[in-house]
Amino acid sequence: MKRTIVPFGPQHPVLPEPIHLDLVLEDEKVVEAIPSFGFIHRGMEDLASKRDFNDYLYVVERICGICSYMHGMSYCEGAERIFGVEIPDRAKYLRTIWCELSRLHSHLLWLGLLADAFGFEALFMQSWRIREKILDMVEDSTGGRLISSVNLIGGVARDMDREMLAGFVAQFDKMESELRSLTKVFLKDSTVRARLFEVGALTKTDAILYGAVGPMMRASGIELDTRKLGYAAYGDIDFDIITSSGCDSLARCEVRIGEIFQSFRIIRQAVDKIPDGEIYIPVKGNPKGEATVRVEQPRGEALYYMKANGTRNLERFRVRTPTFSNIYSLLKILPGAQFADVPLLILTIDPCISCTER
Amino acid sequence: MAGIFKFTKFALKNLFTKPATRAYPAVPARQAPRTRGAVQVKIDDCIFCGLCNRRCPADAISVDRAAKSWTIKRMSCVQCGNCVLNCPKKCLTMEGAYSAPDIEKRNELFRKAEAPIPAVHTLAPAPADGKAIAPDRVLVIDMTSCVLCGLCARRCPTGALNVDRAAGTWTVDRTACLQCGNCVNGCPKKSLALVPEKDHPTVETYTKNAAPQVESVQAPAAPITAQPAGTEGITVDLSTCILCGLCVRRCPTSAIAVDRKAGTWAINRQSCVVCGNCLDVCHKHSLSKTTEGIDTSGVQVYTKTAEPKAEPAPAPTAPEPSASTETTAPDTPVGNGIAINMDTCVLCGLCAKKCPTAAIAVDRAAKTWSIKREDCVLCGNCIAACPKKSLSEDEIPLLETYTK
Amino acid sequence: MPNKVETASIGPAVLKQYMKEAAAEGCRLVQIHANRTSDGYQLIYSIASGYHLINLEMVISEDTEVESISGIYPAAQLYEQEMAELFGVRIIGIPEDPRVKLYHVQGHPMK
Repeated sequence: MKRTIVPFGPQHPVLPEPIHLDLVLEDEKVVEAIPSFGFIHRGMEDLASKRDFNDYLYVVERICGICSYMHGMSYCEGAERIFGVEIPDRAKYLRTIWCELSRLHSHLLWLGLLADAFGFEALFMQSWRIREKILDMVEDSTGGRLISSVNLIGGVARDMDREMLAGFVAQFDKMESELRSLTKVFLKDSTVRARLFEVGALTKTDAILYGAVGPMMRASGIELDTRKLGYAAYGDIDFDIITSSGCDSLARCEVRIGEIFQSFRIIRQAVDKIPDGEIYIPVKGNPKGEATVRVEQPRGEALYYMKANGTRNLERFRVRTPTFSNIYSLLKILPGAQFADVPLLILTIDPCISCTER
Repeated sequence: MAGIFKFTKFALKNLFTKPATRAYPAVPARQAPRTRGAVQVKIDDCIFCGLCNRRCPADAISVDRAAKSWTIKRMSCVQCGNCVLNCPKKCLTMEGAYSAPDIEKRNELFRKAEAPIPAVHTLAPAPADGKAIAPDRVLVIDMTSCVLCGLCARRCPTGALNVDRAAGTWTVDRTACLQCGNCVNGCPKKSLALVPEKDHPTVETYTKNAAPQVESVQAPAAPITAQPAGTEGITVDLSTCILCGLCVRRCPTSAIAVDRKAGTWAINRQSCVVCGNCLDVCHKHSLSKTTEGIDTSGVQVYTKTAEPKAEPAPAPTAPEPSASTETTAPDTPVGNGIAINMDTCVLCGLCAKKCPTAAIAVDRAAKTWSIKREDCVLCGNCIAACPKKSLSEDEIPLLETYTK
Repeated sequence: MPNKVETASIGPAVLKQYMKEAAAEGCRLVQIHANRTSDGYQLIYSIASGYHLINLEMVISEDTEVESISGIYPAAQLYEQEMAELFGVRIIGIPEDPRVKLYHVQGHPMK
């Protein structure tokens, strides 16, 4: 049968970030996908050895716009582990609240883009309308909508007082009820279901071998969530790990929607339990040592490895972002899919190519 | 369970709600009280330290201290706020509004107006008489006692003073002088004072009485100043001098040189301004001021156990070896040296810290105390510092390492 | 929950065997990366069993050839390719498609 090669990307309306795939098609079915990355490689890991480790924090935050908060937080966490410093409890709770706000905004962004991928633009708009309220909350508390610049090595720079936190939680009830109606569209509407059900299946054994992380892994039935390691204040907060046994795009949608409601639950608990106290302790001197930090980004487990040798610059800073792990799964679920489903499949892994290529 | 028309409710509601978007820039952007916008600077408070320049991860800020200007590349700034966090004078703020969109990349330059420095600035503590520095005072100098050593110029934080030894002048830039009093405190001759303005005219240059220049045989390191014959000069009593070299370090004109191996102490009379700093610091009290035996033509070298003689040589050399008290036995020589009682020694390392020649080393892990005998000058600092009184000066076999 | 990271040293000869055993136990590959040392590289293979993370450190010289583990963990292919492109680590046996180049860079920038 005759094969056609269709280039997909790097510029494409449905892609949040540039990635190029050469799709080899037989009729309308994808047979092979040949990737080409490197469009947004900025050499950020190499920059770590050239910048003062305090200033490099602001570079790490800007590795990606969507996952920005947790990059900055994990960098600070790694540096704090190297220094052997324990940050105040209030700072831990504040970091947890901002992490969950970041997860909320990221999942709502993903819901919108997924809807856009199968052409349901009105649903895209409604998802992002709710997301705007989250971004307003982040701007009110930190000063920036996406890039918050609020983490420091030794704590956080801004405080959220009781009034502000109560104001946020007061908006949650309305948002949750709106979201329940909205997510019902995603999960129950027959046209949406027809696009998502049994598309892009990844079995449990394949998920482990191909290195899937995050909702990709949890939608295939593996119950692992890095938040259970207990960094920041997660050790004191009660939440469920959402898994599904569906293994397809609909299951991933279910998992992410479940995580949205868990995030509301976590923020409510954190606001109740947050202790009073300091938010920042100054840390002096140069770091020496190494640390490995794992956090649960909205897209999955991210690993940060930092090595310092006693000078002002870090010797090595390595970020293994979740999409880097998930890309291989993408290349394995594309063969056999319909050509019209390709944007959907790319979005089902929640691609964050800026993170992947740093 | 799948259903149809699940979205209808939203679609209908949407017909009657206002848009979620904002028609920016026709409508101003939403601003929260903490919104990080463009970086603004209060240029009058800025001290041009350059910390913001060093801390900016995008290299957007540049500071020119001489020109008193602060520049920011608006298109490079990523609004991270690191400069605001690190400014010691808190003169940087982030305004709520972003910088306006533009069609070209421009730099914004802020320059401090050339205003005279207000007299309320004081930097140093009050002078010894206990009175507070008042802004209506001026700096004056008594040139008869001034030796043009230049210490005042070095201590001045604004560089307002200039001392020209060759010309014999002392100059003050009245607009730069902050009346801080650092120079007054630092003058070894007590020639400077801050006095009420109304009593003195604001002269800027003072000249010492002119004296004939003495031609030197070689080019000395520092500019020469005339020292007529019979002048006071510094001399050393080598019987007590231990050649530790502290006077060398304290001399503001680098006029003294000490060669411990050769056993010589040399002074370049052309450079020496007889400020007396070396006298103050010598704890063997070997140095003194005298008018006898002072040859101001060049370098005078004093050799231990030899007659002091004047040499025109530029640097002190070792014409004859000093008398050594060490034996040349291949085994451990016996002689005068620092002795340690390892039973009482606690390996605290204070002796090593106090040793001016770094001759002592203490290894706590290996429980050893070692001394480099050739570097030890027997100054006695370690003996005085030892909290366990384990050290003493004695005639002993000069071992180099002792173990507990 | 355990948050400690276990570190162990491993040599290139036993790498494949170790990985086979780990895969049989159900461990998953977390990541592989390279650090530059003064006369070679230090490769770190991270595998996780549940929440427990193990960092396997392997110190090699610039010319040592390391066998690819993408036969056992297919996901390793991307990591090994990244190391080969950015650092110049010699990895043999990657089922590499010559059309696939991860980063469009000249030479080995982090070598």
